[in-house]
Amino acid sequence: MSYCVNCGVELDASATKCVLCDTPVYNPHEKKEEKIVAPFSDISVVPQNMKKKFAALIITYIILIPNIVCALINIFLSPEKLWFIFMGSSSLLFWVVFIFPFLSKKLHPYRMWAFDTVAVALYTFVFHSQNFGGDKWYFGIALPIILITSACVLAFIHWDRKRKHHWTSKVLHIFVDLVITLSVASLCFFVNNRIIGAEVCVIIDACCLALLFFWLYANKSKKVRAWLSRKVFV
Amino acid sequence: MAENKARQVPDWFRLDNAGILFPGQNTSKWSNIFRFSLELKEEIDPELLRQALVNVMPRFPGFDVRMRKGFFWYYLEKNPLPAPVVRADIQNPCYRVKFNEGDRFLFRVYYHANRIAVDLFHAISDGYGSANFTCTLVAEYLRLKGHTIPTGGFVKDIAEAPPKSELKDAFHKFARHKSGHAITDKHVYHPKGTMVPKHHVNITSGIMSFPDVKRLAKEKGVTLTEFFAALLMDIHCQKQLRESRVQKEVSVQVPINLRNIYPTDTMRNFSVCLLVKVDPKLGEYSFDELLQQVALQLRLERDEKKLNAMISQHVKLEKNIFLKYLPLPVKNLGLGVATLVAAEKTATAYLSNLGPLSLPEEMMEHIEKVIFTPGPGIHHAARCGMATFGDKLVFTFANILEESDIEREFFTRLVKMGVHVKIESNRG
Repeated sequence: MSYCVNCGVELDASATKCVLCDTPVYNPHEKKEEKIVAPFSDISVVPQNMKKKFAALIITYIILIPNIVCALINIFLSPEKLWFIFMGSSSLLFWVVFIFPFLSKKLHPYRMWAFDTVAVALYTFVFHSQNFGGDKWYFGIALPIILITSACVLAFIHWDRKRKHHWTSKVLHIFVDLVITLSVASLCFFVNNRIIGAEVCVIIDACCLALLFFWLYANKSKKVRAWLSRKVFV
Repeated sequence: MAENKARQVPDWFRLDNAGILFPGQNTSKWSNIFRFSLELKEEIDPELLRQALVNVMPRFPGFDVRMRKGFFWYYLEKNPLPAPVVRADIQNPCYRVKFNEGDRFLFRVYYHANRIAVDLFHAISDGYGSANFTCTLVAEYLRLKGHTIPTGGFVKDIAEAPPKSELKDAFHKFARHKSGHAITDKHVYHPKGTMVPKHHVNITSGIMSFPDVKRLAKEKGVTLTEFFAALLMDIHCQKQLRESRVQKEVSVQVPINLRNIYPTDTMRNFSVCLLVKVDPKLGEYSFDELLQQVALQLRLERDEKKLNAMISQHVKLEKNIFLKYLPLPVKNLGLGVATLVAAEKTATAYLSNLGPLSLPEEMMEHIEKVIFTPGPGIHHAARCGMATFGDKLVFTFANILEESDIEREFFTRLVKMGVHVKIESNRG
């Protein structure tokens, strides 16, 4: 019988280290020839869950069938207005953002970012052109905002993947991104003579800027960081 | 006899008042499965164990079931198969049961070297029921081995028809309060650490001398449950203090076997959980002060009227006309959200004391020790079970964290108090 020199407990004859403190067992009187059975088997059984890829495929079919039916009804029964495009584009956006990640073998964040950006830009274009026509709003306001938001998200992903950051740094980065996005948005609204939109963006931007300065201070001061960590501990 | 047995056993029955919660909470993280094992003095013969299981099954109709879905509730239906497969033991016991897979039994029987273990889904029975089932199974196994084992204590007579009273939902029978008893508790401290992979749990058992530990508890004027609950509380208080964070309440959940209070022999769930807690914001508690707190709180809460108000509240909830007629998927969704938001958040640790096991004298000489292992939790780093047999007390931790500091602190504290502790674990 062996005892842990650190914990003082008796260890099982099969133990090679203390399970409580990892101290290795060294017993000079150990009899090697004896057959020792460990208290637990080393085989573990893990029940299989439903495969995510399979579930994603099922959901894809569930989304696809009503879309095809609607498209056929629309084309053959009322071809004067293509209303199935609204349903189709919404379904496509939902599929790209929520279902597609489970179908791809390796979930690469940059690839996902590219697909999501294209899907959102296309969806906005289709929805706007079908409802209102014209491309001034889309190319003047919507597309620049989508692109700058997307660029900020890309910058965040790239920065976050490099190394592990403290959560206050992450919040700071999000505020920087928000300030940049809102500045570009207010500029776009202003250039296109949408003064109310520009004003709303500027007000929110100013609030974000104020919070940005607070987080900048919080991120630099160890004391405030520790206080924040303590206050919002879960 | 067979006809008599067939007449007494219903084809299907409802889940009991506590059991209705478990199927909805059954996830890969929270299996609600616990283990009861008996270690014999000789190596287990799997063929004989298989035969013993087949012989024992008709005596326990509450175990011979599979889970089915109704429109409003889950229910239990007799399993057409004679008995579950007897398997070689695994490294990760108490993993999730899937209702529509394999032989569909809600318990699993394992053997390893000298040990026979039963992993049981909590929806069909509690610690008392599982102890009865496992002891009867082991007694039958020993009989097949050629020993003469009479019935008595936890060993039931497998020749007799199962009494109807064993299948009764005792919660409904004894709940008498109309008002119920609303239970509101704060969210408490939970240790943080590295989680073990899904379907795994770290099990560490400490085998100690029962007279030694009893003497320690007696010196302090408390029971064994109170002594260990206070020790767990002290360890968690110290750990929280070391983490230098906002100090939250520390609480230990202790299930109470209601069969000791109400006259029933039901084999289904019949226990309620009491919560003992201290608030470290009030100041640092010494171990003696914690012992006093735990003893007073537990004794105060063990009042029959309060316990009855608690079970009445649970029964009232089950009978609520709105909840009753809610379709099962909606109930499951609600239960899933409730589990996510509230489950285990009000208790820091869990301690279940199965107490001393009463077995026939002829059987005792073949048993080495008894181990009671609670299932893994979702927040608890210390879900503990203790069982006493002869002069051996086995205290088992089921921990979902890789770190073993709580177990280490617990057992080394006992060693420092002069108790000899032997450790067995599934940690590699």
